[in-house]
Amino acid sequence: MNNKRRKNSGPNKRGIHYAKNHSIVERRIDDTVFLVNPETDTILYLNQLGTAIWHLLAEPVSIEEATITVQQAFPDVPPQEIADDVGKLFNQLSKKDFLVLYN
Amino acid sequence: MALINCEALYPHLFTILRDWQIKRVDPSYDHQPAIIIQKTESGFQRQSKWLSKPKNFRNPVDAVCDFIVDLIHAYIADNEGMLCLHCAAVEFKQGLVIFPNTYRAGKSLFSIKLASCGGLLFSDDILPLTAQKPLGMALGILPRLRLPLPELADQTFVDFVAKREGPKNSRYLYVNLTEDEQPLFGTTSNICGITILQRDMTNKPQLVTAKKNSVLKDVILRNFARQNPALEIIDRLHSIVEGAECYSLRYSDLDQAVALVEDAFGL
Repeated sequence: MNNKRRKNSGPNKRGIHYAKNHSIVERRIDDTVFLVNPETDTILYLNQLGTAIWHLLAEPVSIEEATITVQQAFPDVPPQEIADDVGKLFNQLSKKDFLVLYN
Repeated sequence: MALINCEALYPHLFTILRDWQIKRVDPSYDHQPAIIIQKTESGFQRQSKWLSKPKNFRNPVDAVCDFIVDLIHAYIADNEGMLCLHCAAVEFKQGLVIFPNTYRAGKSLFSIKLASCGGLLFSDDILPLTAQKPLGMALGILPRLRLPLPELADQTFVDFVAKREGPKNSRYLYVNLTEDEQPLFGTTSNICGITILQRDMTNKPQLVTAKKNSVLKDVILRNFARQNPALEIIDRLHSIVEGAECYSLRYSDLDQAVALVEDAFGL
């Protein structure tokens, strides 16, 4: 597999895989993950969904794959609601350079 | 800073900035002023690099109130490595307890009330944290109450404030605390507690343990000294939160609230 990474312009194409930006530093306090991007001096804290997605991102993952995994974990939550939330989260993380595209 | 035809502000400045040394310098002094206030036909106008456009004030107390925001920015910019929290802070027997700003929770009222009960008021609004060890530092700026005082201020407290009445207008009153009630500029103290205030008129007053992750989020948002690297900010604030007892205080009655905090930290 090609491990080349490049900066991301937005998670709007199907099947694109995303990976953690390796510059990101994590701080875990209780059950909350705080992320720091030293390149942009940005701090982000993740909610429960965000923390779950960040765990999934231990390996490169697409929005679709992440959505399906979360939908399977929370069968009582409307699938579209999960899809919307996951899409927003990827968008936020990639806009702030916490994620990079994975080719 | 440059004050141009602003003699009307001097009494307020000297009183409110209780411990600050304000010296007149020759107008040819070779420094660009960080803040300029000048008298205008209708009041006072302030310019500074922290303002996107000049701000105008009709009332001298309002002009000084708002000027203090820029003064703090200038102070933090001049003191590399300092963090600065938007919070009230009162020293108890165990150390300094901070009350992060939350909307209309009454941190000024509550912190001045604590001072009236024997606590040392480090700040009712802004608390710098020193660069080396993260200690809270007193700024020696008088605390300010919003007028009219709310109904939950009892007569004893109203009398306490009346005896210490400082500069005021229809909206604000500065409380002229003594050095026994408010420590001198530069006094530092270790932060032993963080209490999130919630004014709640319907439920029974309660002091409950707060989750540290939630408190850390709150404290990160209250830090407005952003010149430091983000990682350093989060690690320093984390060390403060980790070393502090964290509570959430729901209150409707000032005396009950003081008693709850006193039980936890000891006045």
